Amino acid sequence: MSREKRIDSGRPPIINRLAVLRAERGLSRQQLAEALGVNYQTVGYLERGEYNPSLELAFRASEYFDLPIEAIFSRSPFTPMSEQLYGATPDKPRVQR
Amino acid sequence: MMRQSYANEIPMTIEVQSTRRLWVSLLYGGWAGAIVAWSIGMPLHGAAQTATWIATGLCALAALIGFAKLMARTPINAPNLEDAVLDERLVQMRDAAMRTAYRLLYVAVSLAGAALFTLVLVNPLGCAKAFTINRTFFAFTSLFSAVFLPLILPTTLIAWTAPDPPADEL
Repeated sequence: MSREKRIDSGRPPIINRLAVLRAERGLSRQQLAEALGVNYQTVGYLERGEYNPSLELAFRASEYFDLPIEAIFSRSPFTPMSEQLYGATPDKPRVQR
Repeated sequence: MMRQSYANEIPMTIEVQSTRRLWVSLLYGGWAGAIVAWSIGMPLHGAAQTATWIATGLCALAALIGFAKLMARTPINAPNLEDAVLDERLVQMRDAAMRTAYRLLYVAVSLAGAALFTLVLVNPLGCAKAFTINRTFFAFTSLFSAVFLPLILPTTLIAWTAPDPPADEL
């Protein structure tokens, strides 16, 4: 079974920013797993988009990161943070040197 | 509700798929091999019978090694772990494996029942007496098949199908 055909195959994927948020806060998967009350591998599954969290788990993540759910989980791809904050895109870097 | 900490409840490492499949093969192959070796050895005498008993023992040992490896406290063995150590993903994985195992057993038991009914009661081959002669063998294999294999079937399904974890999770 390929990685793409997982438990949630057939359902539209839920995109999340867990990996970015975890990196921002300098957390290991183990630490985030403990904070969210899940197995450490589940964090990996969530970050790779191979598992869609329950509403309960999504709320736990929202509370832990102190962000609204829609800032962490989305049905459509997130705009890159650099573009959101500074208007920079890969083909048009904002800072020219 | 008190939050449970699942992160440290189950060991972090799970083996790669090829290793897990080896254990599943040892379990079922050893089990089948033991039954075949035993049934071959039963009517024999002397050194030939001793050789088949040794083969039976080796196959049983292989099955036990596979069983012990698969029943270890890892996420792969979610169907046999207590609910308190499973998070929602592992519960989903366990339930899916249980469902598949139930369907497989339903088909297997139906076919085995129909085959036994035909062989023992209808007796088209005139071999019904053989089933009553080797009662010990028949009871042992039935018990083993009915109790031991269904117990481990959901775990073997997960062990066989679960993809390799990424390198940083091994």
